[in-house]
Amino acid sequence: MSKPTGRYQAMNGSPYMKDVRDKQPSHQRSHRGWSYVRRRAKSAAGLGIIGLLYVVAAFADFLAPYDYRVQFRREPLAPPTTIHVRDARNNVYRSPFVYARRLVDPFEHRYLEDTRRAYSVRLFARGYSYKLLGLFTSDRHLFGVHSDGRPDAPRVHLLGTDALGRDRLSRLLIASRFSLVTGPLAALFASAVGTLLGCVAGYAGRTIDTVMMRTADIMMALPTLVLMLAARAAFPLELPPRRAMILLITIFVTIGWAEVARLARGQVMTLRRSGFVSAAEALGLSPMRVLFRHILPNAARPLIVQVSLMLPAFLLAETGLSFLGVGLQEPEASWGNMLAAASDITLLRLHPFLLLTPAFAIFLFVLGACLFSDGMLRRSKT
Amino acid sequence: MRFMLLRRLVISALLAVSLTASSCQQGIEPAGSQKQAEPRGERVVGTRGGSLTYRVISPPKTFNYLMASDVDSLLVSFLLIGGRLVELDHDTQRYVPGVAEAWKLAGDERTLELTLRDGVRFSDGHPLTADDVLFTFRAIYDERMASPVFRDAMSIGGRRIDVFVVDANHLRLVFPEPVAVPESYLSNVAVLPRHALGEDLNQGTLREAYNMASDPRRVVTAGAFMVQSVSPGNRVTLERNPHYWKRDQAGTPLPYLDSLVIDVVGDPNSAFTRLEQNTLDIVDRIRPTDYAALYKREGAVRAFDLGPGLTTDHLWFNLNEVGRGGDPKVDSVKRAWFGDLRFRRAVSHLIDRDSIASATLQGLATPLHGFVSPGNRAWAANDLPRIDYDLERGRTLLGEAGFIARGTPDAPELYDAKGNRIEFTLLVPVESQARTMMAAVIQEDLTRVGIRMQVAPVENGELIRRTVQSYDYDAVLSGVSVTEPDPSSYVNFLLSNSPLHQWHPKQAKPASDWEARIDEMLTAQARETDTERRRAVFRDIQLILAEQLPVIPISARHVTTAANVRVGNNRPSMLFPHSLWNAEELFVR
Repeated sequence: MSKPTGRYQAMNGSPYMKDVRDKQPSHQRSHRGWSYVRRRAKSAAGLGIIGLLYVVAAFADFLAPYDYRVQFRREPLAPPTTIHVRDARNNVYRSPFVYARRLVDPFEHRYLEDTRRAYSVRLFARGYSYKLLGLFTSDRHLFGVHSDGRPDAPRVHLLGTDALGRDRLSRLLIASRFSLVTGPLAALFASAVGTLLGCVAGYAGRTIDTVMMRTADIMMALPTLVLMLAARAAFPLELPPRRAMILLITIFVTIGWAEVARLARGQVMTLRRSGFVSAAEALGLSPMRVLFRHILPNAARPLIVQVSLMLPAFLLAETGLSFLGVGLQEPEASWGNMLAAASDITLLRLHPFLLLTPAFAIFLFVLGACLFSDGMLRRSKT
Repeated sequence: MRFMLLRRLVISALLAVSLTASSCQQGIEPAGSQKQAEPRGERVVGTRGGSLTYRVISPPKTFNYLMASDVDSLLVSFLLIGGRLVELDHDTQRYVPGVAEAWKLAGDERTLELTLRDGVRFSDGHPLTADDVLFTFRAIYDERMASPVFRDAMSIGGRRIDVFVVDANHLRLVFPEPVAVPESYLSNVAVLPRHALGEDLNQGTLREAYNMASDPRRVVTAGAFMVQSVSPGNRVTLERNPHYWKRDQAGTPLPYLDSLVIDVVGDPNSAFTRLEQNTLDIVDRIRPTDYAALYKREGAVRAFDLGPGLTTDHLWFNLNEVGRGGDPKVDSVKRAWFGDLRFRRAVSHLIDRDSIASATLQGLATPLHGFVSPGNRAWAANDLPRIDYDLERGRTLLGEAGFIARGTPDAPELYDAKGNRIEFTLLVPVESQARTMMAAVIQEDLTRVGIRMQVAPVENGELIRRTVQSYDYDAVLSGVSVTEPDPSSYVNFLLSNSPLHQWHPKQAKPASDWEARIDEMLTAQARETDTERRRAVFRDIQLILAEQLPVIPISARHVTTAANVRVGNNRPSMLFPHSLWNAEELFVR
């Protein structure tokens, strides 16, 4: 049985409980203390990573040096731009600079630098216009090349370019928005729907429980990919970002609610037999009040853990669908459709690090979510 | 009018080969220069024995070529185990005798006297006679067979060719109307054994004969190979037909190989890896990236750029009539834009073909200015007007057509005279990475004048349904794929009443004067026996399409193949079946 929380947990902070802890041997206390710190550190690290990624997503336009859709066709599959501080004559410059480069071998993606003129790389450089946080129009970017208005000025591509010559770093940053919004939103909705249905099923029991849980069983038994493709077929061919997001969220909620519902139902059924629930019922509280005021808060922790596990799962699913071409369409960027370039083994051998940068971003997010959920899980067990 | 073998293959070519081809993405032409010389060395006398492994993308589905409807089934059942009356020499791109030793078209241009080669036998040792040829024609035209490819391919204006047996080695063929190139029909006939399949035809079970579950020993063939074993879905092993009629210069019976393994490797990554591991000997239509990785290598595997293939990439707008078939899927506003020649010309000028060919497709493609690939050296017109990338010209044409540019110079928006924003959706086969990339480039090109084009990747089946049945689309990026260079191969694409007349199929009567004129010219060229006059007529057809732009040409991608150096007589062709057109001459070094 889960430990009661809310008003029943208040006694944990009582002087009585403090006395009990004080009477424990010191080595046990230090062990528990260390464990507590580790738990907290894990959760904090997880939250920190996730938070950082969201900050990056929010300021993606500022951080991205170029418009993620613009094709620099003279530079397909270009390697990262080399940033110099010393020129060909060994002169040291005050600020870093880049040279223009031209493609000399389209097969090996070999570029040659033109060392006749250096272009300085500056912070807060001017570039394309965007709305910062959707509020302020700006054309300043964290960094960029000072071009002196020359249209043929080189560009700085820290992660190189893709097959169409688009800046890979800019796409990676902008892609974080779609990927980091779709998965979590879907997890939120799926958990809300699943929790609601699971609570009702667990509390009402009988026919309602049977109908809802058999529905959940059916949903869990359906092949996920087929369901996803069927849902995709219901949408029009053109998928602008907003519609793609709605599509993916619909798909994820459809397939994700059942698992949460089963967990919520189990929790509710267990807690329903608790003394504090009987007491609440004996006091004449309405079923809704008992359910949502007394039972649900006590079932919250396992559900939060479930949601935090769902987050990376949905992010990976979004990545997978975009990888398969079901999600966001070009020229929009998501980590999934960026990762699709890595499906060509020959290309992957040539540029393993560059092609896998979206995978690294996904790894970071999954790591953050796992650390956070692990910390939560341990807390809920203690 | 001739409907060639690949009427269906052209379907799968237009819509499927383009997929297979593109899923394997051929690609890129390096600024006009071929990186590796074509491996068109002299034919050498080989040594008998050994085995080679060839990669196909999907498993062959039948050994009965009359029931084949996909490229890989046709490869095995028709080209490798079928004994064809007439064959195409890919070196000279001319028809050469096969099982038929000689043929002569009479003065009426309808009657053809055919002489079979002496002493030809099927793989079971049974002699091949004129009765077998007659039986094959019966099977082709049998209603119960409903051959998906060959019944139409062997019909001329819906009528059959009459066949009469003169004696064991001679036949008389009477075409329902005069034909210019009877060889193109004869090359569609692989002789079937009457002694093995006669009963099946009589009982109406020929459709099921020679399927993948049949006992390989009972699959009697007249081609270079016969079936040794089948591993369903994975592999077909062919072995030498001991009674094959062909011999090399030294008089050694062909084929040289003891066996030819057809391995199904759908994933191009696996194909490339297995090629490197020497567990595959030949892979046709490799990806540009694979070509790039191999072309300079001195190891056991060599890659070849065979230049532009016959497959082309072009874009067309929906020019179907509004409300057609009682289902008004065609948008009348957009139809007005698409129907305006100035709009189509403007779009054509706005597409940067050179950039697509040299950068996007890594140079393994050639910019296209007509509907015939420059790879079709015999029939492509070289004097068509070039459609240069010209932003200003595009803007001018749009202005002349009444389109109005608004917005800012950085973010222009184009409207028609009625204030409708110019936007449409381009369908592109999702299986083709090359075409998806082209679509992305075109999208950005059109944005420069304010045309908003959305790209919608769709599966091939859906693409066919929309373009041939429901007409529910705005524009498509696909192409034409033919397997033989002759103008008759393009008839289905050009004829106004054809279902493959992409921009406006199945017209009851030609919708425009120029389409009516093309119909007439097609009839004329089909009857024309003088090659130069045919060439002139076909050039005029190309010129009309270049002026009217019902399809906006973009590129002709190169055919790239790779093979292990141990493959002797490897002289791949840009025509299908590329490395296996001379399968009987291949040997192991």
